[in-house]
Amino acid sequence: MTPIELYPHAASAAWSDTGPRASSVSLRGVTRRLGQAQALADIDLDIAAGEFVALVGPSGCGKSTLLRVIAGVEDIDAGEVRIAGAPASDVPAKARDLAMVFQSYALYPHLTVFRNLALPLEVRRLERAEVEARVAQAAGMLDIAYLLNRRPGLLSGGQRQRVALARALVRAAPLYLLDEPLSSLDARQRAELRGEIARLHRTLGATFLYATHDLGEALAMADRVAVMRDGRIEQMATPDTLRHAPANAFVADFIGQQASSLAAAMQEARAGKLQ
Amino acid sequence: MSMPALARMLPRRRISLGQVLIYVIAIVIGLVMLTPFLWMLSASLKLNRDVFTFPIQWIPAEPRWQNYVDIWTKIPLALFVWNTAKITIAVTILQLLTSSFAAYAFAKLRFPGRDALFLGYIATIAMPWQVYMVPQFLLMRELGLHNTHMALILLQAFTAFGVFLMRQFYQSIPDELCEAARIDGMNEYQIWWRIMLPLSKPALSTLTIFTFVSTWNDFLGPLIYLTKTELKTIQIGLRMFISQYSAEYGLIMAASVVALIPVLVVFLALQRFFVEGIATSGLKG
Amino acid sequence: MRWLSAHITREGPGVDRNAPPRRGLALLADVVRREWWMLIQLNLLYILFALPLVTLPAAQIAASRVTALMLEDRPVYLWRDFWEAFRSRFWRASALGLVIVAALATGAYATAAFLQAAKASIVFALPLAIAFSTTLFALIAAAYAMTLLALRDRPLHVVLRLALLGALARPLPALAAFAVVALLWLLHVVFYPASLFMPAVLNFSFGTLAITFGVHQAAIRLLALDAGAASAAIGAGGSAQLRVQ
Repeated sequence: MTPIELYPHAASAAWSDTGPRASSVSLRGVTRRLGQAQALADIDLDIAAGEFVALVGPSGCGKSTLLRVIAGVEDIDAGEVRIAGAPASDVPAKARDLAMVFQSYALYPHLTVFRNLALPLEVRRLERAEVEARVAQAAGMLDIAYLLNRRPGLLSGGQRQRVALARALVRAAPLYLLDEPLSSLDARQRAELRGEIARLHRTLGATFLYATHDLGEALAMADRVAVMRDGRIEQMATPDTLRHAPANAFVADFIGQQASSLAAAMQEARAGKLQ
Repeated sequence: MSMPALARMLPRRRISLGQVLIYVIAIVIGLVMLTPFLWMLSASLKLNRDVFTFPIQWIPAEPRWQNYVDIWTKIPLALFVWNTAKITIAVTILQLLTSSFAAYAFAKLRFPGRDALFLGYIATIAMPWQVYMVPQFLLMRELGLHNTHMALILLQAFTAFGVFLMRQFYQSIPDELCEAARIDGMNEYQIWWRIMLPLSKPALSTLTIFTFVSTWNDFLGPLIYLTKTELKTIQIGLRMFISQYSAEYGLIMAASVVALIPVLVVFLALQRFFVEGIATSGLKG
Repeated sequence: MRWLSAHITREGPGVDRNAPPRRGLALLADVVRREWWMLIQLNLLYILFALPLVTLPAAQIAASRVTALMLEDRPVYLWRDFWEAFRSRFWRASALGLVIVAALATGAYATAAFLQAAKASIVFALPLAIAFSTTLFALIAAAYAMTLLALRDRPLHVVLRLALLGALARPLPALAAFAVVALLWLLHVVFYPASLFMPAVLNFSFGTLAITFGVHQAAIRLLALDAGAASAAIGAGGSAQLRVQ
C-alpha cells in the first residue's frame, strides 16, 4: 500500500553530515551531599572528547549522582564542572547540549514512541521534515520503526530501552550519559543492547559516559573505567591496567568479586572479535 | 439449569454474616441519603398545597408537569442559569490552571522556602471562609468589584485545596520524567504544559468535579456579592419563589431539579473518566 | 500515590516485531482501541470547525486526513495535521462540497418526485429506480472524492474523475461505511435524551473514520493508477510534470 503523501517538500535529512561532534568533560573538586551522606566527595575527573568511559561500583557509590551532576539535574555544593572546555556549573540542564538515558527509561507515557523521539527536536523548533527524517533514522538504527505509533505502556523493557536510546540518539548530542541502561533487562537483551551501544559510540563519535554496577560490562565496552566507592573515584584506568594493576585493595576485591561476570564478558568480547 | 448445577458453575465463595450485615447497612444508609432527593423529585411534580401532605405521597396522583414550564416564566431562570454557568465555568477553568501550575512548582521545582510556603498556603484551608468574608467583601467593594461576577470569579480563581490535590498527584509522577524533559531542552512551562498536564487527567477531573459542584451550588458568595436581579445565580434566584407570605415549594423543587442536572452530568461524566482515565488514557498502549 | 509511578514504570507485554500488519476490520478495531481519545478530540475539533457551516466541507476533508493517517499507522499531530489540511484544501473542499450538495439535492428531489409519480402510475418505477441508484452512486462518489482530496493534493477535476471511477469499481465498502454512519445517528435518535453526548463526542469522527476506512484502499489504488498515467505522460512529453502536483 502506498502511504499517503505526507511531506511533499521533505528534504533528505542532512543530519549526520555535520560530522562527529564530541565534548570533553572535566570535573574539579566536585562535592555533593545528599542529606547526611556524602554522595560525591571531591571528584576530579577528565574525559577526552570521543572517549567511552564507564563508571563502575557498588550501588550507592555515587555514579548516578555523578552523571546527574554532569547533566545538570543535580546541584553541586562545591567544585566546578566544565563541558567542552566551558564552565557549565551555572548552565541549566536544557542548555548543556547533552543527552541522557535513565535507568527507568523515563519515557513520556502519554506520547507515542514517535512523539517521544520527536519532542526534543520539536522543542528546538526543527522543521517538520527534519524531525521526521531524524526520527526515522534513529528508529532505523535501533530497529524500533515498528513501534513508532505505540505508547510506552505496551512496550517490554528491552523495547523501552531501545526507545530511550533512540530518544537520546535523535538529539545527535556531543555527550551521552547512560545511567545503568541495561540493569533491568534479561541477559539476552543485555548482550544485544550492549553491542548496540558500542556500535552507536563508534558511529556517532561522541563522548559516552556509562554508569553500571557490572564490571564485566564496563571492561568490555569502555576505553577507560572509573571504579567508584562512597563518592570517590578509587581508580581510573584502561581495562588492562585495572585488571593487572589494581591501585588498591578495594579495586582488587571488587574485580575479584565479579570474576564470573568478568569471564563471561571476556568470552563474549572474544566471540565478538572472532566474528 | 437446576440450582445446584448453577451453584457449581459459580466460583465458590463463602459469604459471611458480617459481609451481609455490611451490605445491609450500606444499602440502608444509601437509601436514607437518597430520600431527600426523591422527595424533591416528587415535590417538584406537585401543587404547592400538596407538598407537605402527610403521609408523603411519593408518586403524585396527578403529576403536575406544568411546574417545569412555570419556573421559566415566573422568574428569569434562564438568565440565572446563564449567570451560574458563566461563573462556574470561569472559576473551574481558572482553578484548574492556577492549581496545577502552582502544584507543579511545589512538587517538582526546588527553591528556597518552598516547603514553608506550601505549608503556610495549605494552612489557609483550616481558616473558615466565614471568618474573613466580611473584610474580604469590604476590600472588594473598595476595588469597586461588588455587584460584579468578576468579584466571585477572582476570589475563587485560586484554591489551596486544589493546589494540595494536584501536588499530591504530581509527587507520584517520577522526577526522572521532568529531568529527562529538562535535558531534552524543555523549560519549566513546557514541561508543565506538555508533560504534566496531559498526565494529570485523573487529578484534573477530580478537581473539576469538586470545583464545579461547589461553585455551582455556592449560596453564600453570590448572596453577599450579588444584589441585582440580573446578576443573580440559580441558588439565590430560587429565593424569588419565596415571598413575604408564602413559598412556592413545588416550583422551588422543580427549579432545584433543573439546577441539579449540570452537576449530575459533570459528576457522572468525569467520574467515569476518573476511574478509567487511570487505566487507559495517556497510559494506554 | 505511588501507584502512578508503578503504573508508569511497569513493563508492558511488549510488541511483537514480526506480527503481520493488521488488515480489514481488525485494523479498524485496533485504531479505535488505540486512538479513541484522539478520536474524541477530533470530534470536538470537527464540530468547532464545522460550526460556521460553510466550513463544513473543509472540516470533513481535514477529519478524513487525520483518520487516514491513523489507518495508515502514521504519527498524527491532531491539531497540526487537521489545520494544515483544513487550510491548504479549503477552497477545493468548499467547491467539492458545493458540487456534492448540488448533486445529492438534485438526486433526492428527483427521487422524491418520481416516488410520488410512481404511486400514481407504475410506469414511473423505472425512472424512480434510476434516480434512486444515481443518488446513491453520487453519495458513494462523494465519499471517494472527499477521501481522495484528503489523501493527495490534486486538482479538483482529477479528484472528481477518480472518484467516479472508484464509485463504479468498488461501491460496496463505501456503502457499508455509510450504513455505519447511519447506524450511529440512528442510535442517537433512538436513545435521544440519553444519547445527547454522542454527536458531541463520537458521531462525526467515528463516522469519518468508517468512511475513510471504507474507501481508503481503493482510493490509494486509484491514486497509484493516476500517478502511473502521469508518469507515462512525462515519458511522452516534457512538461507534463506540472500537471501532477
